[in-house]
Amino acid sequence: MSTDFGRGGFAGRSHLGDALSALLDGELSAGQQEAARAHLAACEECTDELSAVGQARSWLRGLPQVDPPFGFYERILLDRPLVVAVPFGARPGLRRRAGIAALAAAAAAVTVLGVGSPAAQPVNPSMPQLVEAHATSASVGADLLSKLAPAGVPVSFGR
Amino acid sequence: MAGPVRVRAAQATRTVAAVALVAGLAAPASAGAPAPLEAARHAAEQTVFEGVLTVRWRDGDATRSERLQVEAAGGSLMVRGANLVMAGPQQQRLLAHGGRGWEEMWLPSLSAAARPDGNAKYRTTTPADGPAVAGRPTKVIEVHTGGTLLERIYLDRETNLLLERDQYDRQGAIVRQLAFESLTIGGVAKPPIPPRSAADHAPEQVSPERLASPAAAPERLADGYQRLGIYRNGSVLQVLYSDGVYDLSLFQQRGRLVRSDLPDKGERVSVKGAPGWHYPWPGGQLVVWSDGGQVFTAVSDAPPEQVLTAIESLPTVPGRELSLLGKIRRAAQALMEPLS
Repeated sequence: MSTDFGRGGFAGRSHLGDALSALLDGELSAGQQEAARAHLAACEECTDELSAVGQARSWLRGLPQVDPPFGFYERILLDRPLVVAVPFGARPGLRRRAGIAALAAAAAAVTVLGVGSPAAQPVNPSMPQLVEAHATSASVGADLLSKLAPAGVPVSFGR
Repeated sequence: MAGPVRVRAAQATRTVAAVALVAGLAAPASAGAPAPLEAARHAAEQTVFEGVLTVRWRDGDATRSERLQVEAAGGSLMVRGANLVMAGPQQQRLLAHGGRGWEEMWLPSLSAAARPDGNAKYRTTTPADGPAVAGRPTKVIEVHTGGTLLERIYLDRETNLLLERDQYDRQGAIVRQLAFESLTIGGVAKPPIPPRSAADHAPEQVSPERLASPAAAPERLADGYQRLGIYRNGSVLQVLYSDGVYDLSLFQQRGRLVRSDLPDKGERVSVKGAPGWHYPWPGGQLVVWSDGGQVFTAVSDAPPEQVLTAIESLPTVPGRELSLLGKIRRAAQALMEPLS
């Protein structure tokens, strides 16, 4: 998170970046939220990024919980002390356990996102609506009979 | 004396013709449609009339047609078919499907740039006497480009109202036609009254600076198409283009195209090396294809060759999907943030 963000403004920034996550989590002050919303209103790229981040989060939250195999924590904590330093004889704290579980879940999520998620959502363009939108907008400043009258015919492309 | 008189008369005729020609050539080429189409536009906005208009179009091997009632007065025009369409004052556009409520499709607050000069691309012939259409004498104008006949336009000799418009394919066959079957000019037509309320289905204007990439809405496409405006309606971005005679809307939606979701009757075409599908509609052509994580739908009244040429010139839009690294970063952030 940049220092600009810490000062509560986005004026000097080209895009919101990590501040989008903070915005989704409600971690911004009222002033920061207002500044972020103003930036979003003027920046299509950040608007799209916000949508993508929100979508990724919803995918993650929709992942099923997986119980680790028996002895999973112990093997990590005792056999690989460099990963998580635990004092000899101490039991790993609940928070640390949760952190490790989160890391495992993140790895699973990465697998799901990297392999299983679609490249893009399927889109089925509503052709009749697009035709009507074209006919009405193209009729502005043009011959009404040529451009607008065909919209009186309902468009059916058949199947 | 008869000889010199005839010579002088011939000279005078040539002089008048030359002056007229020079005057015609020297006249400033006004931006927008060629003069006959501009005259028809003004006539449709200013003439009081009512009549029955038939729309015919080629749909594969079949020719389809629909009859529409049209009435205009006081600067408003109403088209009554299975859909009701209305052009209200101040460029308002409304549409109602099959007797359902009115939808506002275009608001006076929306704007579009002036159309480019169609005379740069098209040549129109001098108006000549044409056959009667709906019992009214006409003058006929041909529209050519590159030596190919594209259209014959029949204007009312008295008012310049468009009475018939025939669009031709490369083989010289009519592929689309608008023609009045009956028409009354003047008389008792009352101005169509805009509905008191209508659902807001109008797009919002988008400034080019707001776009993530200029490639999404280039100012120009091949074959003389220039951007008139950028609009957004929900998740659909519309970029409107014109070449001065025909218009082309390029609709863009994030996602991917699933062939099985599309109507079966589409003719397969190639767009930038990718498969696309072409469909005729009563007002022209529609082409749909997918590229760079976007689904594109081009809708136009231009001939299909022009539509394909224009969309071939679109730059590739950079992919907007999160990279794998981005997905990993976001996934890790989402999971770790509650614990930190």
